Amino acid sequence: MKAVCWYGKNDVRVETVPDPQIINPRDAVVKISLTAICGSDRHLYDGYVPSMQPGDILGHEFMGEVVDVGPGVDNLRRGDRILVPFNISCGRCFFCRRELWSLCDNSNPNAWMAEKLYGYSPAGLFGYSHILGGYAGGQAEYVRVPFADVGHLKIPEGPTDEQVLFVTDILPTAYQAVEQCEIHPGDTVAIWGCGPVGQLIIKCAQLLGAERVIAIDNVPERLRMAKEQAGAEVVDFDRVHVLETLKEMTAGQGPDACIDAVGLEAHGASLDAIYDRVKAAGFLATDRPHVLREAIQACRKGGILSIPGVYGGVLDKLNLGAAFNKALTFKMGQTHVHKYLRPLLERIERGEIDPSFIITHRLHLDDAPHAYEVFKNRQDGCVKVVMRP
Amino acid sequence: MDGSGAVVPRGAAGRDPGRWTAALSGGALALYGVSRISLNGMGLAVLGSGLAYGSTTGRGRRLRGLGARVARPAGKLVARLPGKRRVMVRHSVAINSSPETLYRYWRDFTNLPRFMDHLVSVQPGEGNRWHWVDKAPGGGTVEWDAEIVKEEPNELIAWRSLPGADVANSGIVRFKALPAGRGTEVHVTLEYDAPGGQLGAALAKLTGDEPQQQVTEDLRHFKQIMEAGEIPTTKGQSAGRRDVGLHKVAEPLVGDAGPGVDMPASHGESTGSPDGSATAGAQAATAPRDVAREAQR
Repeated sequence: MKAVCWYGKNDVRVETVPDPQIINPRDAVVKISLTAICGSDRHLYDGYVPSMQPGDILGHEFMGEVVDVGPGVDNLRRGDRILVPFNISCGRCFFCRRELWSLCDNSNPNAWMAEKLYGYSPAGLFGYSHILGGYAGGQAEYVRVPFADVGHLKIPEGPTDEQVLFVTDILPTAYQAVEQCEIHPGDTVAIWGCGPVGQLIIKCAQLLGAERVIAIDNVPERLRMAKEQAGAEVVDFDRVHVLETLKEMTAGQGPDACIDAVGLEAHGASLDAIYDRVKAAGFLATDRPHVLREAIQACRKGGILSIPGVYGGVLDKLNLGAAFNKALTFKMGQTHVHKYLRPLLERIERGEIDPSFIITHRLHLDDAPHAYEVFKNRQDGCVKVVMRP
Repeated sequence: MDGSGAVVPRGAAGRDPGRWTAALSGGALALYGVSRISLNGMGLAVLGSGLAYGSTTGRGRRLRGLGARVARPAGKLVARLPGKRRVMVRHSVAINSSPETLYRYWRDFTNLPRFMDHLVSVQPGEGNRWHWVDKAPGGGTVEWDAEIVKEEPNELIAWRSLPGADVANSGIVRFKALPAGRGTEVHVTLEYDAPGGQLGAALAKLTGDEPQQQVTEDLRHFKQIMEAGEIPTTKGQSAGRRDVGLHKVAEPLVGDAGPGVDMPASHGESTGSPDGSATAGAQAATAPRDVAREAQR
């Protein structure tokens, strides 16, 4: 089959590789019908994520048709049209049983690596480095899906691939980020980052009852999309002082909840970047979590800080004093996608949300190298790329 | 032999120049490893972090300095063999299952090779005796007989090799229910007499044949079988590479990253996939790293 393989910084290629097979009893093999490039794939492309191996197959947002099922999977049949969550979860451990699916104890074959870095290992992910499992991803014609009996959502006739694809990752990521904000009537939510997740956060915030949604970015077409299609008030951080502007917009009180949909990888939060800084500063400095600091500073007293943006390393000079003295609540983490599959599909079916508005580029899998380049450089107003094998 | 005795005396970093040396070199190794942005690099980084962390906190169980510590005998199940030193490892894990279920599975020792990577087979013999076959370096095997010396249904099982075994060894597993339906704590202690003593054990750590890492991975696999019904693996999956040697450097640290020990299905092994991303797993599975085997040499 054809698959998008990672070979190094700015080097992805479409290669012919062996077709995936059933390996474990709870596996399924899925023929991909639609797949996407995620914002977090950019950090792999930029070479920021350690423990990638040349030849790793990328992709963790995908859907398709079941073509093979292991003997331990009794609820899937060939021909089923399914979505697959980006995190891999056993469904039976302490964490899965508590709906903390992204923290599954049993799905990372390389758990020892993550334990060294984080104390304990989170769930394995598709196509996202060997620390997080080393599983082959879904930017390919076929993919092997471990624990497929709990890691799928059947899609009925009706909604299109484009309408439901993002339920695998970025829509539940946006939804969870907003849910964490515990929105009350009249609340104002501020969002840093108007990428694909940021756009969907705006929609979810409206869906969950936010009175006002303020989106912060500096990319003109993303601000335009946030304003015109998602319906947010927008702040261009190249033009105004964000803290003062937010204060003004909220009558001096500050947003009730702040969402960091940027994370640190884009600014070099990865371990290698930390290495550079550590080296430069004699083991003292580490990172510059600019957005996080600004969100902490901007948030109203007693407010909530929700962090769907990815962090990987060690932060320095974090204004924890502001967070403490304003009694902020922090909520963060990888998305527990399994938990949101059905509720979000139902919202899509009821017409409450259609996340496909963020798609700007529809390409063929063969165009993946070009697609990564366009996405990275935000050429042609690129916000979200989907690819058909 | 219970789990309360300290395996190793612990000193303060300040009184131990060797520890500070380890901290500095560990830090440097970590930085170097991270800088390589690769699995191999991560291996170095992790190794370095372990050195640095363990050395500064006095908690370096895994990468203790060569010859710097001497294990204190902590059990009486194994008779000391002349000229050999005892090595003991302990680990515990919480499993989302009942003590009854876990006890039943473990008590059938023929199941042990399903999650103990270095075992080939364990077969019942006469009475409460079992015949153990272990992988040896170079593809051979080591065998011995062991007997169950104590058992309390759903609580503990203790076993010990019979006199005359090349590698005198013993083990005990305890099961204790956790409150509020949180499953079961499983505590395992393994002991054996290593011909190389502490120096041999320390060398084994440096070369990746690390008993603590091994028991950690074996218990992880036990948990995975009992909870998920299978051991997660990437062995046999597709990738755009052919050089399985890519993971060589990371291997010593891996212990076992979890390839399917004894998984029923099927085509994984036969696909002829050039994949190396079993990575760790694929190679560690065959890597000689069992301490008992080390001792055997």
